[in-house]
Order: sequence, then structure tokens, then C-alpha cells
Amino acid sequence: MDSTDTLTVPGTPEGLRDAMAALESWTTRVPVTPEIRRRVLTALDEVLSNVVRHGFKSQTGEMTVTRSWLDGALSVEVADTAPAFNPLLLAPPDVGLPLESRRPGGLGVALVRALSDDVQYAHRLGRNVLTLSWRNS
Amino acid sequence: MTIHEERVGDVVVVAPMGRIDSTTSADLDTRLLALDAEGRRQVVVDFSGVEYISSAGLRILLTLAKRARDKAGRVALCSQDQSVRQVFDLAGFTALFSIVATRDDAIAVTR
Repeated sequence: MDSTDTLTVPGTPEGLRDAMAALESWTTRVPVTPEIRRRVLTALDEVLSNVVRHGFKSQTGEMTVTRSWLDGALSVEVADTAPAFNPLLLAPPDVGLPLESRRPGGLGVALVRALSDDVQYAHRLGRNVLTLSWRNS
Repeated sequence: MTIHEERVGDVVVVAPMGRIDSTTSADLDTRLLALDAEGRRQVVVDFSGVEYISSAGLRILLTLAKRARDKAGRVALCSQDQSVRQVFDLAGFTALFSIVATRDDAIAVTR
């Protein structure tokens, strides 16, 4: 039952909410473990909220979410029209700091890396394209 | 987001249900700020109904911990499943909180 679905939403909090609702629904229709499902949804919340909060901070645009289930592996591609930015080049946060020194934020990309089996960034046709994938095991 | 609340003596147990992500975390923040405004300084966050937490939720908990530190409050977290615990570990949050197994343990820690 290989399948691919695409959804395009505005780069706004409402668009993010709609995209997450679609992903939640989709992850109940593909035969993934509950653990993979949680990883997928957590990672995608990080990716989409970063695009909305940082990518579209001072401009409007859209995000296209393409979900694929192919040969027992799952991938989600997020393409956005925000200014070119490769989140994978961000330095990881220092997670060993004590409470006094911790600042909110900066954790999202680290979580995306840790919760996905593979993450790739490309800039194609004027869009940031981030592709996350998981093996279903 | 639905957030259950139980008061056990001076301790307030807050139990968010579902996901704590960029869409829902503001609800949790609002509730925790309301408790702070009431002068509630002993807070337990019970994760037994939490499906997953993203960094937006971690941010809310970090501000809760800092408020508690500034106001001599006590915070404990309980009933985290493996996937929630994994996110806490990855973020380095395990060392910042009292995280215990059960709600009763958490209430005991914050008393």
C-alpha cells in the first residue's frame, strides 16, 4: 500500500495546526508503530513551527507537506517559500548547562535530528526542502 | 487542550491530556501562570495523559522551573513514558527537574 499525499498550507499558526491535524490523521492510516508515530509528529511540529516562527517572521508564504509511505519506510518532506535557510547548519545547543544558564529555544533542530532516522536539506526552485525519514522498526 | 487539575493540600497537580506542542503549549502556559498568580508554589505536572511533547512544551516547563527557583517554589514531574523521557534526555532537561514515577511520589517531593 505505497502512497504519497501532499498538502499545502499558509505559513501561519493556523496553517501549522491544519498540517499537524492532517499528519496525525495520516499516521493512524499507515502501519507504523506508536513510537514511530510519536517521533514523526514531534519532529514535524518542530520543523513546521520553526518555519512559521522564523522563516515567515516578516513575510507571508506557504508550506507544502508531502507524506510518503514506500516499501515500509516513511518520509515527510516540508517545502517552504521562506528565505533560504539550512537549519542543519545550526550549532547544537549546550544541553548540559544548569538551569540558571538555560535559555528557551534552540532545541527544536536538535530534537528533529535525534528523533528522525535521516534528515536532508536542499534548496530547490526557490524553496527550502527538508526531508525527514524513518524506517518502521 | 484539556488539562486536569487536582489539589492535594498545598500541592496542585496539573495533568495535560494529549500532545504538548507548538499549538497547545500556550494553554499549559496559561494554566501554570494562573496558578502562579494564585500564589501556588508547589506544582506537579503529571504526564500520564501526554502523548508527546515538543520543544514548545519544554520551553513552558523551563519557565515554570525558573519561576519556582525565583520564588522558592517546588516542581516535580511524574508518569513520563519512554518517548517523553527520551525528549527530556535529548534536551538535557532530565537534570533540571525532579522526575519521579508516580503522582504520589511527585506530591511527596513537592510537599
